[in-house]
Amino acid sequence: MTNIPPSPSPDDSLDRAAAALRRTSVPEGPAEETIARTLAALRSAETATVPFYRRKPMRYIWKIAVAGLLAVGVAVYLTGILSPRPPLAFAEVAAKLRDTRTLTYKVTIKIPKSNKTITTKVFFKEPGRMRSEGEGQVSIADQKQNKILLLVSKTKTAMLIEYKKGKNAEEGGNIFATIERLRKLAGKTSESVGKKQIGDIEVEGFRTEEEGVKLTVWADPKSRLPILIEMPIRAEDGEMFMTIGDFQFDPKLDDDLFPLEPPEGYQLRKMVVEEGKPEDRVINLLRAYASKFDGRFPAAMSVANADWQAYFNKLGNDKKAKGPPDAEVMRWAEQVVRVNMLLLRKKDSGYKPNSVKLGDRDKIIFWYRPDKAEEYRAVYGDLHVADVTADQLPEKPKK
Amino acid sequence: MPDWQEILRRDGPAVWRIAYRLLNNRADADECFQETFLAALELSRRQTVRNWPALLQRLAAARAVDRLRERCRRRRREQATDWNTLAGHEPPPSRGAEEAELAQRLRDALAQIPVQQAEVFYLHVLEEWSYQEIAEQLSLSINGVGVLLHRARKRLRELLASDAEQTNSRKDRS
Repeated sequence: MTNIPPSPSPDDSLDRAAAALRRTSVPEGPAEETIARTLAALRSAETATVPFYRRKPMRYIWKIAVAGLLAVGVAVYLTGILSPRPPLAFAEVAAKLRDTRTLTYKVTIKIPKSNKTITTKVFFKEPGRMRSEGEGQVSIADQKQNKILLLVSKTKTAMLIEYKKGKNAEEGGNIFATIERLRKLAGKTSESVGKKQIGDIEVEGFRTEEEGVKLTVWADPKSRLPILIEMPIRAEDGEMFMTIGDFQFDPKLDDDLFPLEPPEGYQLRKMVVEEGKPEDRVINLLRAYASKFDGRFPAAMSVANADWQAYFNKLGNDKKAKGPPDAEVMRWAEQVVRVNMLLLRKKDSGYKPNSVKLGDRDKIIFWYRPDKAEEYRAVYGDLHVADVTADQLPEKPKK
Repeated sequence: MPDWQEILRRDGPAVWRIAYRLLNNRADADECFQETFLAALELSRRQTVRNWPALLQRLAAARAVDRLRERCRRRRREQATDWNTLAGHEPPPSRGAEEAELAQRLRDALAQIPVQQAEVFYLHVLEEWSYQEIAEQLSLSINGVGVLLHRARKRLRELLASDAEQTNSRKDRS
């Protein structure tokens, strides 16, 4: 373990007590007998169920019968040892993801264009609680309460967002999307992609598909647990690669990890978001943006995009906001994130602002296909909405 | 399957040290030692173990804290019926005994705080694990480790102070 020099203070009773405990003389151990007993217990736990010596005394005739059964049992057991383990099945690996009550994993997103890597650690606990940490931000979501707490450590800012379902709300992107995708893998078909080495483990790979996203799941044939999941994700300016690894199944996760109250010293802002149709959200965003930039539309629906950064700066300057991000900026940023997630999640959606200006009534700028619908819902340059067929879209929908 | 013989040979002494240091009793430490390895076996069936020494040390601390709590509960039950006979009869401690008593007070205090706080405190302060190492082993965030450690320190200080007050008042009475 890493050495961290302790810093005892002679005045502190706790430090003195800790130093005293550290100096406690420990006799040499464990004794050989303890090791032998532990080894026997481990071997017994690995193989047998009830130790023979714990059985009740039996009559002679039963002893013979049991001896016979035991012989058969040993033969079956040996057959089990000598014959190879059944091949690792994808269903078995996927079931582990579906059935776990708590789960932690690390998500790494590589953006080839900028050569940037974003890493997030995720903690999930049933029912519907999730914590993500990375890039100086923490988000804590509670699906039951429809609330998300965002914490920015640098500015000591906390934003509590409450989602209220509006009429005709459509399923948009949500921060549980990744875990939901992983849990849905059980029941999917897969094809083998061979073996590769990850650290000390030779893993077996399975390729499968969920909602149009192709995933490769690498699993350990010994523990029969997933080790790494790879998937490309769509972005407006190319493809990014997501890997999910460092899984821990059913770890003990304290409820303290999922508070919806900010830590002491954080400035809290609250926000209520009425969930509506994606097209309403997009129209509001486009109208707001175009009103500040002479009728132009942003190049992409992403908070990382320079156009949106400029918009947020303008909004912040207009309101002369100082210190923590203004609630107004956060509100718009949250809307952009939701549209962005929908675009990433739904392969039959798109945003093409090329040469479209506010007022263009014949040019489609945004579209998506609602669940179970045949036609696409499209937003035009003049911000009216219409249902259109695939051949009316600015580009062919991706399959 | 893990090579238990090798794991026991390599990691046994560290597990034993943690168990004994916290429990201060050979029989309890022996049982805690065995429990630790059996818990590790169970865990290895559910997840791939990449760092056996860290896992075993963490489990040893957790099991030992569990036993301390059990011991504390038992003692409370006994004290509840026989408190008057115990109060006010402690001999003045010698220097070595004072140190042992201080260590024992910390054990008692560790038994009275939430398990995870006790675990984090022990691993960081006594075993000198970094926040990162604790976070990885206990599936906590680094912030979470900091919070637990802060709470543990605060509560342990309170318990030690209250314990010292009780001891002094008993001495005054005698």
